[in-house]
Amino acid sequence: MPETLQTALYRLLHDRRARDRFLAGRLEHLGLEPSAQAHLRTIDPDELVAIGGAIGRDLLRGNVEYDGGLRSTFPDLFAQLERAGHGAAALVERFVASPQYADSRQVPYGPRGISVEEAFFEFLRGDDALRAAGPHAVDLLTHEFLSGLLSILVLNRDPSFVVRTALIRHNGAAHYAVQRYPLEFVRTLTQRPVAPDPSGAALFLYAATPARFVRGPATPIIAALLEHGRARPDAVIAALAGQGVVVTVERLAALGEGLARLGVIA
Amino acid sequence: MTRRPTTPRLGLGVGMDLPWGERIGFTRDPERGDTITPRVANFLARHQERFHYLVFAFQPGNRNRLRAGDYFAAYDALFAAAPRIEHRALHHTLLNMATLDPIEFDAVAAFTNALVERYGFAWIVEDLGLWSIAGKSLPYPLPPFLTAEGLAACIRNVRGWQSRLAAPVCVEFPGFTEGATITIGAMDAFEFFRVVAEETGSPVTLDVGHLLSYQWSQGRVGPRRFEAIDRLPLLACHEIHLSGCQISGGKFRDLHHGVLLDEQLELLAYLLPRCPHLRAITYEDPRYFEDGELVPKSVANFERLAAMAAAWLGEEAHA
Repeated sequence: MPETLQTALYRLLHDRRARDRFLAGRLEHLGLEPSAQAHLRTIDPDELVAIGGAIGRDLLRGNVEYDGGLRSTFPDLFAQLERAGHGAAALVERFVASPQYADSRQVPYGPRGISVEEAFFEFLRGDDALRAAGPHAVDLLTHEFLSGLLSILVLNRDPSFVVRTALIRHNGAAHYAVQRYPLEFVRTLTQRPVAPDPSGAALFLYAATPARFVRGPATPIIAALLEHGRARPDAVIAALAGQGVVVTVERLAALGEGLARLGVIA
Repeated sequence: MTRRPTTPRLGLGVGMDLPWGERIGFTRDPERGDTITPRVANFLARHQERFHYLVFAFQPGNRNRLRAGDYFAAYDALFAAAPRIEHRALHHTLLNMATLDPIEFDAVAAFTNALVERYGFAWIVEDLGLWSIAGKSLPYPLPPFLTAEGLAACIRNVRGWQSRLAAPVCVEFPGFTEGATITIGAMDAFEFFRVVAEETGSPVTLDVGHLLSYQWSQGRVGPRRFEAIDRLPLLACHEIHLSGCQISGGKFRDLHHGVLLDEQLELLAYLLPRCPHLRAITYEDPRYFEDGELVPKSVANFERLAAMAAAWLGEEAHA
C-alpha cells in the first residue's frame, strides 16, 4: 500500500533515523509519490526535531494523573540502565521507532492495541541494552512491567487496550501472573527469606482484582489454585503431583479460602 | 446536517482546560470522589459572575474505553460550583478532524452525545487539527495537511461529526505556535479554513492567538498583522477565543498562561465588527492562585477584554 503524508509524518516524528535522512534532504525512503514529497518541503526542521523530542519526553514522564509515564512504571529499571550507560532519552527514542510501539494505542476509542507499558516491555526484553545492563535486568523489567500493568488493570476494569502477553492470564476473578525468578532476585524484592520451589527458583504472584493489586512470593500450590480454582481440588492435586508437590485436601481448602478472600480466585 | 448554535449573544465566557491531577483540573478526592480541585472551586466562587458561559476541555480521566458515566461525578461537581453560569459548551479533544485516516466515529459520538444530553452543551468546539496519529496522542495538535488531500479529509471529517453529534460543531482555526507546529503543504491556512467552513456550513471559532501565530509564521507582523484576515470565514464566526500568548526571542508562543497580549485585544477589536454572527468571546485558561484570585500580570488585559465584551454585548441590547 502506498505511503500517505500522514504515515510519512508518523515516521518522521517517531523514527530518528528516518528523520535524520529527511533532514539531510533525502525523501525517497518515505515511499511517497514525488508530488507528495514536495509537500514535505514546508516542514521546519527545528519544529520537527522539537516535536519528535516531546513525544519521547511525554512517554517518559506521563502528563496526567491517569498515566504516570514509563519512568514511573519502570523506575528501578531505568536507574539500572542509566548506571550501565543507557540514558532514558536515547532508549525511548529507539522505542518509539519500534514495531512494538507501533502496536500500541493510547486513544480510548477505535481498534484496541496493546498498552504503551506492554509495548515497552516487549521492545526492551529483546534489546541489547537490557542484556548488557547487569544481573537480573530481565527479571527487573518483567517485575516492573507486571506490577505496573496489573496495577493499571485494578483501576481500569474495561481497558481501552488489550493485554497480549501470555504472562498475564484471567481466571474469572482476577487478572494474574505467576513468575518464576531466581531465588536471590525475589529475596531482593521482598527483603526477607523466601522458600525456593522444587526447581530452586522462587515464584512471585501479581494479581489485579476489582478491589486491589496483590503481589508477593507464591508457592506452587498458590499457582495451581490460581490456574485451576478451588472448585475441583482433584485437578489441583493432580497438577501439583506432576510437579512433585504433595498437598492435602484440607490444606488446599484453607489456602483456597484465603485466596478467595483476597479476591484472586472465585 | 449542519447544526448551528441557537444561543443569543452571550458576551464573555470562560474556557478551562481541566486535566486530571493538575492544580487547575479534576481530582479524585478520597471522600468526595471525582470533583474539581479546590483552586478551581475557589476561582468559580470568586469570579463566576464575570462569565456568561463556561466551556471546558475534555481530558481522559482513566484508561478505560470511553464511558460517559465515568465523568458524570466530576462534571456534575464542576457545574454545581458555577450555578450562576447559565450556558455551557464542550471543547473536545478526540474529534481529530484533520486526520487522513478513516475516523472511528461511533464510540466518541456516543460518549459525546451522552454528555450533551446530560449537560446541554450549546456547542462543541475543537481545533481543526491532527490530535493523534495511528492511535497515539501527539504532544500538541498539529495543523491540517495544507494540501488538496488534507482539505478533502477535513471537509469529510467535519461533515461526519456534524451528522453524528447532538450539538453544533464549531470548527476552530488551529494554532501555528512556534516550537509545536509542523506545516505540511503550501496552501494558505486562512483560505483552507474558509473552504472548510463554506463546504461544511460549519460555524467556526477564531482563536486570536492562533490567528496571530499563523500571521507570524507568514511574516505578517507589526502593522501587517491584520493583512489577510478577511480571507477567513468571518460570517461563520460563532466564537472567539483568547488565551495567554507571549512573544519572546522572536518567536510567537501560544502558552495558555492567562496573560493576554495587547496585540490579541487589538485583533479582537478588528474582528468584532466583521463577525456579525459572533455570539461568544471566551477567555481561555485563566491562571489563578489557590484562593482563586487571578495572577496579577493577567489582570489588566483581562479587564480590558471584559470591558470590550461588555460593550459588544451592550451594542446588541441597544440595537
